Amino acid sequence: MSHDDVHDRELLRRVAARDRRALEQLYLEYQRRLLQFLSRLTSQRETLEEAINDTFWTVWQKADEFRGASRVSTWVIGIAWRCTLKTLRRNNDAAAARLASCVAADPPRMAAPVDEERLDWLEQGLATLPLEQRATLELAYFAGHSCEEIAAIMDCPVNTVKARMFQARVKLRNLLPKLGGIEDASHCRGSQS
Amino acid sequence: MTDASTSLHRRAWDLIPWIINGSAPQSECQAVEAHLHDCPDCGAELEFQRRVQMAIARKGTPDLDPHASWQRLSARLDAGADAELPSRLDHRHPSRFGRAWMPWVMAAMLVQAIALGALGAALWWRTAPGDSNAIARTGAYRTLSAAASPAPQATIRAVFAPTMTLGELQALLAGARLRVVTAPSDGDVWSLGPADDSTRAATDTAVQALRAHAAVRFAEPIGASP
Ligand SMILES: [Zn+2]
Repeated sequence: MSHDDVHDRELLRRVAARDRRALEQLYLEYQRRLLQFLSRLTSQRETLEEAINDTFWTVWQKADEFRGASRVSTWVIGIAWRCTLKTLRRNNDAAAARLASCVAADPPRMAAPVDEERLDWLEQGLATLPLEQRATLELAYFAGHSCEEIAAIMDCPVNTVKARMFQARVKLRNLLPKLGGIEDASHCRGSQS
Repeated sequence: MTDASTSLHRRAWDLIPWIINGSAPQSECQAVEAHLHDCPDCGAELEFQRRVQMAIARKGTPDLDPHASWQRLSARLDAGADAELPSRLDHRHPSRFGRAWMPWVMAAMLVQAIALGALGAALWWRTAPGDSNAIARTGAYRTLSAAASPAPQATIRAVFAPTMTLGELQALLAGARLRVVTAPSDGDVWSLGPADDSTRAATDTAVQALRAHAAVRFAEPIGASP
């Protein structure tokens, strides 16, 4: 168990004992981290705060049900993921769909990019991925979570994480065929496990 | 390509993201190391995924004052007290995500919306042993709303989706400058009234705000239709 997790478990134990100051501390320690992850799924500030506050509302309610099967951070991020899904689905289903279809209808095209531009295009390509695929990439690449941890966070089988990662990679390669000197995306022959 | 090398290629290709983020087990990495070095496709994919990681890493994070956000959550926790809350009930009875769950949440909302004091809330919690339907049938809502400050005149009738949550309804009503006049004791229809401005124009604006929300099934000014 890492030092961070020991610290988090102690805070969570106090939260379970209805210590509001411990909840505040946990909130302040996690807010930025959750914001980093969630802001990659939605750019709407109200949605972000709503999702983060819903997360800690739930933490306050369920702290005594944490059994230590995972790291506290995995548990909290998992709650945040579910709260964000709910918030997004009820707030901006229509808006998100419109945005996604408008971006998807105009996939990025590029000639001979310099590196910065190439990353810009990639960023746009990422935005066209379905939410679950994007979240999988973000959790893996930004937060460095393992396949098993992502399965715990997203509350799905490990094979689903693998499938989402696979689909995201194929989609990015197809959207951005000429990136990084990679001339031919058809070489990708990964397996769908 | 032989079957064995195809299978090694697939294994290596699948492992690439987890090698990049450092979470792949050491033994797995060693098993595909030579292949990654020799296979041009996997080499290119490794390079490509590193760029994906770079694109993800360089994206900025918006500023959202954590202390201000915490204050809002803290106020929400104060308002909800430490009694059993909707999310808790959900957790114990997942089946209640359906319609039966709705009045329970709404009752909690009502307790807040009509600004009942601790006494009213305590009374409500005691009469709510977890059975939302029983509470709905007793008409506890009306008793409680009658005990509150004088209700404004109802100007709007609305029906909300059963998935609507406490926080969402709260935000919606605050944004539309409305308050609850009566909650449904049997049907689905809520009566809402103005929080301050009771002009017809304000009512129309509030109706528009309600209709624009995905979880509002129906919103109509009272007396608008013949
Ligand atoms: Zn290969």
